[in-house]
Amino acid sequence: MSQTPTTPSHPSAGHELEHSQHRHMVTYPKFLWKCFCAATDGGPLFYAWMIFLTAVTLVGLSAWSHQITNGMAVTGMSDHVSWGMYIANFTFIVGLAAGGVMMVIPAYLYHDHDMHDVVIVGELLAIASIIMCLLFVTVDLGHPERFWHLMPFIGRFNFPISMLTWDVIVLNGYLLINLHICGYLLYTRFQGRKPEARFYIPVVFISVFWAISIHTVTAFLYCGLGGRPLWNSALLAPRFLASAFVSGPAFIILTLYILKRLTDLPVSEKAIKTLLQILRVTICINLLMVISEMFTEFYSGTAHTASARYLYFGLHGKNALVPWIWTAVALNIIGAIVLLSPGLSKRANWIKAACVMVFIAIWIEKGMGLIIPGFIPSTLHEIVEYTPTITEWKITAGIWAFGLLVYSAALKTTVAIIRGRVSNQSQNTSPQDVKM
Amino acid sequence: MCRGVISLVIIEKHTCDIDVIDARIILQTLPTGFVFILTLSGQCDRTTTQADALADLDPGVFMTFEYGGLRSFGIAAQRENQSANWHEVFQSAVVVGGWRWTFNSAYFQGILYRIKKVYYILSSIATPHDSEKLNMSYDPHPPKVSRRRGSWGPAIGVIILIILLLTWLMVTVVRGPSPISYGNDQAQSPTDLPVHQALQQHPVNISVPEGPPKVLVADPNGSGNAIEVSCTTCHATREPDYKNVTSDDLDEFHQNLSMGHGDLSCLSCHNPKDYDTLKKADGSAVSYPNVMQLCGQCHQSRYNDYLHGAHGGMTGHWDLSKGPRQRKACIDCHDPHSPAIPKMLPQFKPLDRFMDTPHPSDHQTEASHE
Amino acid sequence: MTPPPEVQDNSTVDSAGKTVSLPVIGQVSRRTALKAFGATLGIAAFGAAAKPMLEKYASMSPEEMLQRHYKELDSDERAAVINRLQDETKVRHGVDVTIRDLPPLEGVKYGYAINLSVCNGNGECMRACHKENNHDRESNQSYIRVLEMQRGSMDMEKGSTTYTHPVPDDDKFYMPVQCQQCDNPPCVDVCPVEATWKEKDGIVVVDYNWCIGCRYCEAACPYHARRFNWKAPTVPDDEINPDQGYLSNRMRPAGVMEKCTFCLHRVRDGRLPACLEACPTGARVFGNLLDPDSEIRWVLANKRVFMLKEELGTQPSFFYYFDE
Repeated sequence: MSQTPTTPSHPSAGHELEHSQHRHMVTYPKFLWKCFCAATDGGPLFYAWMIFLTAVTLVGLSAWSHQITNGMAVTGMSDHVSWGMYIANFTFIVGLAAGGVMMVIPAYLYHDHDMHDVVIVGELLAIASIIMCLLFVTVDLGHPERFWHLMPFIGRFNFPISMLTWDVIVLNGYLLINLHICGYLLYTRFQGRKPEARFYIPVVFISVFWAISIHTVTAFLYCGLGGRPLWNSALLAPRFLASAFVSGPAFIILTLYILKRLTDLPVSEKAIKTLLQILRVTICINLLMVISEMFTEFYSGTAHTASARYLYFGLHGKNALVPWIWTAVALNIIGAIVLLSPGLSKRANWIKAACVMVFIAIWIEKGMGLIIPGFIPSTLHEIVEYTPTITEWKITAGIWAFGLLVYSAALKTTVAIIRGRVSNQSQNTSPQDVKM
Repeated sequence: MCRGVISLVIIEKHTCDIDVIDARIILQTLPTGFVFILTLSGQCDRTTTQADALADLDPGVFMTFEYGGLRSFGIAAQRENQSANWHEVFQSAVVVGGWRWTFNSAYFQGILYRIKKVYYILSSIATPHDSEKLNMSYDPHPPKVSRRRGSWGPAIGVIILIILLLTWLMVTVVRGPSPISYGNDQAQSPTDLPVHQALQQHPVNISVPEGPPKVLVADPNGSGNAIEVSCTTCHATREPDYKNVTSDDLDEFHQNLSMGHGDLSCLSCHNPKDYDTLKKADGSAVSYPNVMQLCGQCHQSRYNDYLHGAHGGMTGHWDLSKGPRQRKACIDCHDPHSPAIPKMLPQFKPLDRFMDTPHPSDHQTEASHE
Repeated sequence: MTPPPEVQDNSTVDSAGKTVSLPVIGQVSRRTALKAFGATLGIAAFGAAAKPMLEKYASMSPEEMLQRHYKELDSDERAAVINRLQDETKVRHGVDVTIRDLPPLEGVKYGYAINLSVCNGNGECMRACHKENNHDRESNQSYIRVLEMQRGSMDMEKGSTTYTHPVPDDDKFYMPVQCQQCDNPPCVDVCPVEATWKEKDGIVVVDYNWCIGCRYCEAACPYHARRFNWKAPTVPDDEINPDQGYLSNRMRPAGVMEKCTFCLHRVRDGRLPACLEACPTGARVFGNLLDPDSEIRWVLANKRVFMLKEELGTQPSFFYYFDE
């Protein structure tokens, strides 16, 4: 149940010599155990939150179990709309994972000191998001027990032709990269020594580009399909990146406010301010891209606009997505106005509200608002609508809850380690120290 | 020497007919480190030549990729393989997802050595001499770090990305058209491929209509036998009336016959000289079983299509070496008096999940609502 | 299932921890006991939630779980797999079926053409496909969809598949669409596990025992030619077509893709596809594209032929033509 940011192997070469290698054999298991203890210990609020998330996760697991036993027929998907809620959420959450990198760039490329304190929040978000992504893909499979077919050398990995294999590589790679960075930084802090730059700085640089690649490759999944005009657009990958860099920082800002309130992690206002600056730019870029996509679709008015017409205005009397997408447009615009107005963007409550708004807006726009209309009308121009079933909602909620569970546990541990409550020297964690 | 770690050489066979010496010259100008060679060549021996050339320059690693026999590229070469020909090189090949990864025994050692080396170079580039300066530090006033040194990291990342992208482009985008095309031009027919030869021909059986029709004149009598008469039974004693065009013109017989075959009249096809035969346009008689000759004289292009299998239904075998084929005749599908195929009611409709209940002219009614 | 009560259970424990003093000494011990209790409950709930899934997987045989890709099986292994599948059908449906694994014929590449001047949209091809390929009876599944199109327009937007009026309508023409067996098939490219591929004779096939069910191919296909088994197809035992092919019409499991194979089990035996034999108007032409004397080659050479969505570069082996 508890997830601790760990790194699978630890380089033992370098200044720390042979005796240190021997020491790791003892220290590392101790580190893992203490992380586990820290992640499962806390105040009533923490317990309530974790129990709630566990319960929702179990609901999702039970629904998935039901789906596997009774077939994908329990979902709302059909041969016409063959991807639904799962892939929509997958697409959105890949963006969330990539968005975490927006803290890494200022922290490491531009040596923004305020970011250094909280950059690990973004990296942990990336870890939790990638875990959610992998789960969303897994529940979308008709035969998840055949996952080994996807493994290089063991199965038949259709690399490099299939973009999905690229996605498998980049997502798992990004997970490992972030596990290494977080694990290494926390472990050294646990040991009470300075992290050695050569063990993680190169990886941090790789992670910046890797973050862009995960979302680019995910966009290529869709925009490479010639038979789906809505997706077959060169703007899709940049649009994905722009919206990722809206949803990611928005979520991190909210996390930082929560951490500031509930924990003793030193969250500087300057870090939030930097993220807000990023958000102000990316939200405009995202809106610009949405507008140019809409212009191209509607001004030309070719036969290929059917999907966009369905999405924004409904087609042949079918308009299930229309209220959703206009909600997204409205939230996006209001969020942008709040964030860009000099007065409102100084008030914390307005910032929080704006972050929630743009987060939801992107979730709609890039999730259901992008995946579903790609299938409507179908390639033979039949119009079959899609509504997720209760099973799909349960599984989706379960995965979100599991992701938040991982994220909360990881943040809990991280705060404890950074504040020195969990270290190689400390005997035990005292719950009284923990506010949350 | 420059400290670049990854170099990329693309050799297009058609534009740059490279030989060993050229390869050496190119490679000698490159910095040490990984060398990717992408050869857009269908000729394997050409790539071997380049691999040989590389062997002089770079001991340590040998690795060659081949995709689909059309494109190949190598990463450096090893001295031992200098004399090896292409097939020997591939002896230890492993096929993974359409890629062929080749490596000899020294491959793993070599690649580990490389990774180590690149790692050290990377970390020494990215890290200032004082390795603590880039740490994740919680010191409120850390010392400033030189930006120039730190900016190497992105450059390396960009190079890795470009290589990944190029690999992808090579394999997925640069795909030639299908080697086979089927046009009117007979010369284009893929004669280099062995065409399936019919060894033992089975017949094409065309259904033959029965002889002159019999006409049912009364309900089955007491014994259950229908009373049928042939055409001549009645027509032998009657004068042909050339004015009769439709069954409405008849007062005695055939009144229920619906006639809808263009402007034709009865005696356009029926032979007034012998009602048990049919008549071609030139007046010559055609027997009932040979009715297709009669149809074919007007519907020549359809008949031509039919003779080439492009019109009319069939069952059985497409491959006559495996079994016979049955073909229908004109009148199996077309009523000669009213040849248009009558309207049918579609009986079988898909009942997809969540598909609306079908109703006539779905789109039109909805379009009118808009 | 169990999870909703689980919420209750855990929260009572939590509140119990606040109010009831348990018989343990010291804060830490009580917390530990509570944590252990909560963890036990959680694990129990986890087991209960995952039970149906685990039971399903436990009921699968190791041979089924670990079966390798079709292309990696040698002839003995293929025979063993086919025997297993035949036995399974016998057990589940009580029907003796013959599953054959016919290899592609040398020098053959299949092509199909439909005469749109003749097709009247009666849909008998769909029915024949439905029966021949052991499709799900509830959904009237088939690999063919017949589009009713507006005369004078190739815009599918104006088309319909749900028409039920007598056909042909004078203002319409009818266009059956099924797998075009493309030479550059997007569905094959996107498959992450090579569960679908193009055979030497041009037929794109699916290994039902290798497909992971990601449905990427279904998204990639521009012809709506692929079908997913949202559940295991239901076919009455007495209606099962016993002439089956490993790569075509054998009973499919739930959760895998399937598609038109030009009735591979028939055509590799030299026979015509079921949809062609069933067509009451004789609109369909089938044959070997490599044989210059074949019917299909005559059509390509003498008729004005077009390919559906040719601009997508899929290079279909499926053609449409009009007489005039």
